[in-house]
Amino acid sequence: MSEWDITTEEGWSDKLGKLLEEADTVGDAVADRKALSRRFVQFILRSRPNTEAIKALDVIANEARRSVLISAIDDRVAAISDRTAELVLLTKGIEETTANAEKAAQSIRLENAQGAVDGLAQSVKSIKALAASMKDADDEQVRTSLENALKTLINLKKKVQAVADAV
Amino acid sequence: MDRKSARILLLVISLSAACTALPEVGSFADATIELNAALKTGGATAVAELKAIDADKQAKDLAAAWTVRDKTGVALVAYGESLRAIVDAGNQGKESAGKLIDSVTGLATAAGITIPGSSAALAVAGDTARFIYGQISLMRSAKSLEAALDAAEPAVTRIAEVLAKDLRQAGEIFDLAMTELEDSIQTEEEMQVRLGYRMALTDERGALYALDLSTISDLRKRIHELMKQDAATLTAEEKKELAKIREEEANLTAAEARLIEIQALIKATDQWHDPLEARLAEIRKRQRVGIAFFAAAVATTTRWAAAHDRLIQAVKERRPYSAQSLMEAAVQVRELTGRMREL
Repeated sequence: MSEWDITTEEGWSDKLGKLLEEADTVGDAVADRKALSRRFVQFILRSRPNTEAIKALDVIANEARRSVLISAIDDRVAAISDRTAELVLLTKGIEETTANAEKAAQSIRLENAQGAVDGLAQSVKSIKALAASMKDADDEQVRTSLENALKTLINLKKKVQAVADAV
Repeated sequence: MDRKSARILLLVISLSAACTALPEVGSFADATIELNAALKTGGATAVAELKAIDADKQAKDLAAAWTVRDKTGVALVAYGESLRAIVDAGNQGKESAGKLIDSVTGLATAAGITIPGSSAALAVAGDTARFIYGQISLMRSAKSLEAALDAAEPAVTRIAEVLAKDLRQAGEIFDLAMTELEDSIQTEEEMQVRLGYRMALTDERGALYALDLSTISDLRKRIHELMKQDAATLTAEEKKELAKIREEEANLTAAEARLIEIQALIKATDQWHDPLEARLAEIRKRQRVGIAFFAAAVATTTRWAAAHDRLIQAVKERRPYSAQSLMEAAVQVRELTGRMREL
């Protein structure tokens, strides 16, 4: 005889009572939750006749069924959220290590030295242009050239400083 | 420095560099990219399924928490790339030195400075400088790689533990949400009435099958035999038997008729039941693929941390490094990620 061979409203009401008791004590395992939800589905599909009383039982069963699954979801979302703060800190640690590793790679690639030399080359070019403009140009050209030379030298200072810091 | 000293220096550098072969970290960095993709897909998938079952609060909370996981994934990819950059920088030391020498030469030319010595001698000096820096960069790279790996190790280990737990629980959330989706479709008000009706029919059909209708023809033959005889010649036992098998035959005939009727009724429900089954089958397929995807993502996370440990040992012991098992897991998770996106 199947557990669903029930013929009276009282019988279905008792059956729902037992299922609700199971819902109160069901374990946290996903398989247990899914199995219980499926039993509530069986209850809803098999309970008959479709009187108002049976329909009311079905409504309760359906709410309980969803609750069995959603409460398990709630627990897991909460557990994931609880680990978030720790993960933020750990991620910062990794970012710091990454920044240091990137600096090391740049240093091995001689990027700072390369930058300093490139800056120096630009200075030479600017100063040459200044010298040329001072020979036969008007004041405006001289001023522009001086401004460019100055900017270049400021950039060069920064590059040289970076090299000094790296050393 | 005199020539002899320079030769000794070159020899020392050469011998040191020979022991400083850099490990191939590209596969680790590539697997980290796959891990990040799996992490992103895992979170997005679980959140999407929560929305699909109208669990809006849970979807919002999980999405907020997973934003941090996404950032962690990006940080891990950057970390993997920084390891790759160190190794590449070490392997390309000669080129870096060459580029710098060319720039210095260009600068001297622009400034009108004449570098003493013949052009052939300058070329030899440049080649030597390139070679020496090539070896130095290998050693610097090995040292920097070891420092980076050591510094990251505690965080990497713990991050992998946390992410493995997160992915496992996100997989469970996905599984539970898919179950809710499937079960809620069956318990919709209209659908539960229809399914209840079909279930009652199939239960009744099952009960009728249990009657063994195949005996009906034998019963009919026996009735026919008994009926052929003159009723007055039938013994009391035969009369009793006839009454019994007539009743049995009538019951089975009614059952047979009911079975035909039920089969027709069940067939009539196929019109709505077939599309429902197709819909549920799609959900179950997605659920199976999703469960496999999350299991693979958890396995990849664990293997990723183990591969990081092995990489540290390989760098310390100056021995070759292989990330084959990690790559296998990464390939599997990539395939499943693709399938998840298709479904």
